[in-house]
Amino acid sequence: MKKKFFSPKIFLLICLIYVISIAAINFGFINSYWEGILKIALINIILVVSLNLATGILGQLSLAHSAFMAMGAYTSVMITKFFTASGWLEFPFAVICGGLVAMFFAVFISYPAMKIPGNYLLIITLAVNEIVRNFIINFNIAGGSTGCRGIAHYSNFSAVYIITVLIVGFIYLLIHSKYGRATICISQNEMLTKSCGVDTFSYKIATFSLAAFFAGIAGGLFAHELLVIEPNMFDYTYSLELLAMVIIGGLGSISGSIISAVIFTILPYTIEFILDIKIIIYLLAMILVIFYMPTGLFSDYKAILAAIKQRFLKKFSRGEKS
Amino acid sequence: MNLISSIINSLLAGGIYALIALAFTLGVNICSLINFVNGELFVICIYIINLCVNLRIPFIFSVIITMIICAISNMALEFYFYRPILKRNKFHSLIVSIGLAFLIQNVFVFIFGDDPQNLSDAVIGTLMFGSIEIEYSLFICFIVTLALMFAVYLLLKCTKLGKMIRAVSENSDSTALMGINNDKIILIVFGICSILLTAAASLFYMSISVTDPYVGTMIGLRSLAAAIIGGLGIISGSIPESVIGAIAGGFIVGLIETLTRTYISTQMSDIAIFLILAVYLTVNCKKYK
Repeated sequence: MKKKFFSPKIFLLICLIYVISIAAINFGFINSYWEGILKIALINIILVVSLNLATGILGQLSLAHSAFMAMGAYTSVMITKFFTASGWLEFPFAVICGGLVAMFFAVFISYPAMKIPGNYLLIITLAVNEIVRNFIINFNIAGGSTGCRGIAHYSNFSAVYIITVLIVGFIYLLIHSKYGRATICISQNEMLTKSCGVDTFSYKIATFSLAAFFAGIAGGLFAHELLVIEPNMFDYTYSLELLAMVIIGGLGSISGSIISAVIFTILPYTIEFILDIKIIIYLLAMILVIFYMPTGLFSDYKAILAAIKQRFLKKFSRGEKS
Repeated sequence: MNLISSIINSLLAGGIYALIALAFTLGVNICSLINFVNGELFVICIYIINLCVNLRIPFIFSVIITMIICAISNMALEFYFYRPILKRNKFHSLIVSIGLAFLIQNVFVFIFGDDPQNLSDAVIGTLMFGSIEIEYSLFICFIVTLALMFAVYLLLKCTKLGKMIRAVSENSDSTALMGINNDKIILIVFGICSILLTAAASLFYMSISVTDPYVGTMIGLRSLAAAIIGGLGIISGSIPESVIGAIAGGFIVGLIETLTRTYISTQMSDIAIFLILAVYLTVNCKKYK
C-alpha cells in the first residue's frame, strides 16, 4: 500500500504541471488575468476537497464553508495589516492563524449538532453563514460592508500551488489511513461504528473542524490574492457553489473534486453569459447529477473513459467490417 | 407597559413562525425530509398575493387563488422531484431539497429582480386594551394561527385521513401492506403544508410593509429552529403532539426575537435564536435516536 501513496507517476505529474504553468506565466503565455483565475481555481481545489472531507467522507452536509473562509480571510488580513514583519515571516503565520480561528469556531458550531444523529448540522451551518456575514457588516469589522482594502499581495502562484498540493496530499493520506476508514464507517452506519469501539463524537468533530481549518487557510490565500475583501463575497451562494462542485465531482472522490473545481472555476470566465446565472446552472447540474449519476460525473473517470473507448472501438470495428 | 405590549405583539407575530414550523414538522414526520423549499414557497406566496391585490382582486379571493397555485406547485415538486429520490436515499433527498430551494430563489431573482417591494396595507388600525396597544393585523394573525392549528389538530386526531397520515408517519411499510396508498398520503400532506404556507404568507402580508426575495431563507431557518425547539425529531411518530410543539416553538422564537430586539440590538436576534437552539440540542441530545 505504501507504494501507492508515494507513486512516482503522480509526483511527476504534479511537478510537470507546476513547471509548465510557471514557464507559461514567466514567458507570457498566460497573462496576469488568467494567472489570477488559475490561483482562484487552486484555492477552490482546497475548498472543494476539504468540503468533500466533511460531506463525502463524514456524511454531514455543511453550508458554512464560506463563513469559515471569511473567518480565515479576515483574521489573516488583520494580522498582516497589524504586523510589519517581512512577507515570508508573517504570511504563513497569518494564514495558519486564520485557519485556527476557523477551526475553533467549527468546534463550537458542530458541538451540539454532532452529539445527535441526523443532519442538524446543515440547519446550524446555514444559519452561521448568514450570522457571520451580518456580524461583519453590522459590527464594522475591518471596514464593515464597504470591505477591507490595501491588503499586501502575498499569494503568488508558487505559494498557492505548494499549499494546495500539501493540503490535498494530506487529505489523501488521511482518507486512506485508519482514521479515514473509521470516518467512512461513521457515514455508512454510525451505531455500528460506535459499537466497534470508535469514539464517533470526537471523530466527527475532529473531521469537521479539520475541514474548517483548511477552509480558513484557503480564505487567507483568497484575501491576499484578491486584495479586497467584502462580506458579500462570503455569502451562502459561495457555499452552494462549493457544494455543487463536490456533488458534481463525486461524493468522497478527491480526483473528481479537483477536476470539477478546476472546470467550474474556469468555465464562467470563458463563456461570458454564464457569469450572471452561474449559481442557477450549478444547482441545476447538481440536482441532475444526484438524479441520474449519484456517484458523480468525474469520480469514476476510468469507467467513463472505458465507455468512450468502447464506443469508439465499436464504431471503428463496424467500419472495418463494412 | 411598553414591555407587556411588546411581548404581546411578539407572541402574535410568532404565529408566522408557528405556521411554517408546522409545515416543516409535517414534512419531517411524513417522509423524514427537511423540505427547505417551504421558505421559498412562502416568499413566492407573498409576491402572488401582492400581485393579486395590486390587480384589485379582494384580499380573501387573492389568498384563495394563491393557495391553489401554491398547492399545485408544491404537489408538482413532490411528484416530480421528491417521489423518485425519497425511495432511493435520504441523504440525496436532503441535497435535492436544499438545491431546489436555492434554485427556486435564484430563478425568481433572475426573472423578477431583487428590489425590495412595498406591500399595501390590507388591515390598518390598533386595538386598545386599557393602556396596552395591539395592532389589528397582529390580532387577526393570532386568531387565524390558532384556528388553523386547531383545524390541523382536529384533522389529524379525528378524521379517517388523519388516521391514515398518522399511520404512514409511524410505519410506512406496514401501511403499504394494509392497502393505504403511501404516495397519495404524502401528496396530500404536501398540499396541507402549502395551505399553511399561504396562510403564513397572508399574515406576513398583513403585518409587515416591505419584503424582498431573500427574506424566505432566514424566516425558513428561524421557523426550522422553532420546529426543533418544539420537539422535531424527539416526538416523531405522534403527529398531534408535534402540532402543539410546533405552535409553542413558533411563539417562543417570536418572543426571543422581540426581546433581543428591544433589549440588546436588532442584529443580535438571529444569534440569540440559534444560540438557544444550540443549547437546546446540547441539553436534549440523549433524547434523539
